[in-house]
Amino acid sequence: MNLQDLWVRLGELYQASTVDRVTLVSSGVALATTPLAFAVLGRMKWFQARRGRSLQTPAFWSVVCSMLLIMGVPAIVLAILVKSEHFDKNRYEFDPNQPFSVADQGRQYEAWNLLDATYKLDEAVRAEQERLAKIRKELTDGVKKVDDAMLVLRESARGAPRVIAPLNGVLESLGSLRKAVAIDAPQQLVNLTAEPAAIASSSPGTAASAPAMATNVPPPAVAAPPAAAGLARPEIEAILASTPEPQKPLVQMLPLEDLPAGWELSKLPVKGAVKYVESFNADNLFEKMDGGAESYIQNGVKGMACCSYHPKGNPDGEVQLFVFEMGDPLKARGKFDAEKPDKANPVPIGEGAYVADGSVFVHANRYYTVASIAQNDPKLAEFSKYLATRVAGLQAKEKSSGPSSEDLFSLLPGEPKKSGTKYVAKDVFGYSFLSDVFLADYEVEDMTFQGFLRPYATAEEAIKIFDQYVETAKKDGAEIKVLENSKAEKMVLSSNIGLIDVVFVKGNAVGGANGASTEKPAEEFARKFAESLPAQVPLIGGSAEDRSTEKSADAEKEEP
Amino acid sequence: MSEKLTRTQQKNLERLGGVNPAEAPIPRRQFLTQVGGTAAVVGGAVGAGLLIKDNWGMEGVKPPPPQRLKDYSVLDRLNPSDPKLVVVRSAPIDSVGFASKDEELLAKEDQALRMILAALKEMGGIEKFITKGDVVVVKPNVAFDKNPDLGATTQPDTVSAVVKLCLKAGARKVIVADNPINNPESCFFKTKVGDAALRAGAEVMMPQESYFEQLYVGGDTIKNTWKMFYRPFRDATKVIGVSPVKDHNLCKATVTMKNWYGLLGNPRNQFHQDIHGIISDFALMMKPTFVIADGRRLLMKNGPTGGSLNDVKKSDAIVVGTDCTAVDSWCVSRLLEKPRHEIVYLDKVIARGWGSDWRPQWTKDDVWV
Repeated sequence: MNLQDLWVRLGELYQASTVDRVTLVSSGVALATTPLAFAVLGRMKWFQARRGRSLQTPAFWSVVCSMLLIMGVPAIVLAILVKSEHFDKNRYEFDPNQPFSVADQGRQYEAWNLLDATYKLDEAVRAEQERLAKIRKELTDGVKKVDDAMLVLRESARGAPRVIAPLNGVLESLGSLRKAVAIDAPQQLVNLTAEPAAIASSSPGTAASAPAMATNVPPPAVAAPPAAAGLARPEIEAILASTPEPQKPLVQMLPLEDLPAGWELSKLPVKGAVKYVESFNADNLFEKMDGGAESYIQNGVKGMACCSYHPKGNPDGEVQLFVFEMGDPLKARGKFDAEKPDKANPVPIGEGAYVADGSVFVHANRYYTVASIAQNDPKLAEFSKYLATRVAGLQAKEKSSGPSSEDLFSLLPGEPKKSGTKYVAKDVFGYSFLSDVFLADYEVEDMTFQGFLRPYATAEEAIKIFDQYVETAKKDGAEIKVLENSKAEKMVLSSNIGLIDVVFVKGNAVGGANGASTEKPAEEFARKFAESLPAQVPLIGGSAEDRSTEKSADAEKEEP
Repeated sequence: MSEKLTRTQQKNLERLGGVNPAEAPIPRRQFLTQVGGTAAVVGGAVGAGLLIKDNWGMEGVKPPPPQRLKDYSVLDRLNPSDPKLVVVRSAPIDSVGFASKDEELLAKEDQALRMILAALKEMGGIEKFITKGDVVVVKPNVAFDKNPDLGATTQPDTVSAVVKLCLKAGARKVIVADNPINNPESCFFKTKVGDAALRAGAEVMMPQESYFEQLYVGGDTIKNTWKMFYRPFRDATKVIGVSPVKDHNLCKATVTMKNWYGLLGNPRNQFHQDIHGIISDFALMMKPTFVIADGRRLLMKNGPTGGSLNDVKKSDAIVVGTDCTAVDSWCVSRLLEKPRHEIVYLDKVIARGWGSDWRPQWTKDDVWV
């Protein structure tokens, strides 16, 4: 390396970074000024030291050696600086763990070049992708604008039959363009099979504005039906396309098209998009309902879809529709019963429904549907009933096999006076071990109590729960009396703070009377109930094996 | 410092009248040169250090220290003999007879204004709570996109009344803020709280990602920090909670303390398993100026979302207090008609000494307007 190269190298270092620059300059200044400083300080007798009673100057060479030692510090810093620029690049050359050969050096050189080329290639690809994305966005925006224009044109063309055929051709050819830019929701074509009169009358404004085209059209024979309100098919397709796969069937149940005249879907005020429908799964239902989601999760909710409606011109008169898919029909019934008020007005929709202040609550199959209104308006109440009926109609088409909840409610005795039936999913009578119970209210001589039935997968499981009940009742201070009964395996009468329970186990079921105030009617009821109950009570919501497996899986989850 | 000389040296010095070179004074020029040179070197080193200092080093990547909410209460300014919990009653307004919805809203707002003003008057006057130049945060419950008539959210007329009251008392700015998880725009729109607040002159602050910060709670469930909707509280000097009174399927009742749950960032649903623990932590986290429980429309069952007018009961009370625990306890037993022992989070708060149950001696529940 000659002096010129060194100068060039130092120039490069100076321009490399601020830290390098500062280090280089300070080292250079230190190297250059140290001899000067020593000369000046020497002249000022700085180095003189006392020897006995007088000051003496040290030997010249000792001063020079000291100066060289001091100059060594910036020199070492400068060396480290120069070395640091090249160390990384050639680090493998000095790695004793690497085989070192000319071929390896060559390979490393090639690899280095290749890597460098790859970086450059990557950068070029990224730039090209950005350019293409920009073009695609412009293209998509353009096609969307054309779409909007075509929608207006299509509506106008309804009144001009001559325009329809060529327009359809244009729409068809636009289809391939839309597909090419990945806007795959199809444009709805004009219905060529419709009667020209109906086409003309569906848009009187445009028909009047195009008299020349309509002259050949015969006069309408009958008045066309009013146009149905709601979303267009492409819009529904777009909503479905953006809905997660598991919630699609729920969204399909929502009445989004062919709504009664005078009603329309409410737009959700969301920034930057028009949104009509929301859907959630069990994991994110809390986003919509916060703490309210837990009661649905306890009933095995799988998903929910919702939307809102309002009469045209009255956005305050809102009807909100929620469709929940629960774990099974029993859970849907459980949620329905849990929310049911004492004085509900039943209506014949789905498998069970009631109206409460205009809002309609329905369970059908494994679905629980709520059509809720916030104003006491008969028009809104009528529409909520319409929505619930329409949704329940779709839900009923999905037939589930096996026994229904009604089959089990029918096993509860009809006498004495039997009123409401209810399915309770959790913590029945305050017992955490008692769940999924079928209840009915009974009334006898001014006394009320509840009859209940709980089938289990096996007789052993039923006996285990029965024993657990007896044990817990004893712990709570109840007086237990064993009753002899040939129709049931075990039967006990429990009396605590004036409340009488008679509980029995027969086959795979636990049943009895709960909350009576006198012993005799409760005991008579339980005996008759045990007699009427079949030896094997069917299970709902899967086979016995499934239920057992589910239980054991739950138990495993609970284990720490 | 003089150097100790041997006796011979001392004698020689005295005899010759010489000067000990070690005791010779330093010449001024030498002193200035040495001190100046040292100062220049040290200064240069410090300057160079500052010049090359990396401000974005480890110090730059460290997370910012967690925020803590201030104590917004004004208990020290209140007269000890004044009540700390006031229940104001007024006959419910019937919707029939109004020409428009706006007219009905104005009538309800006027009623709320009079009721809250009467309550604050009993507690010492509005000037004890809001002073000139205050930045007030009003926290309503806007958790769901439901019509306010369903009772699941704070009534918009109560919010607008509070906003107007604060501005009239001299507040510089009133911020109405809540953090509904799903679609805040829709929630503020459908509950009509957003519109009512804006019309009353408040700033409506909806959640954005940058508005959340780690907030130190130090409670029993949130032992350290949690992501909270902190931005509205950054410059706040007073905080007022305005909540509905409603049933809740998990914690049994939502009144003023559960209202702060709306400030939690996600994934807040994980607290549903320890709902009483997390709500009791709010008593430690938030010391509001005062809270208002709007008991004019009660969601008696199927809370927190409701869904039917059948679940809603019209009532006549607005409860104002300085302690969330006392207000909640009163509302639960007197308005929601629930057994007090069901509300476990109140017991937890009281047991930890973070709040106190209501007491007749500092409660006034017979104010009518």
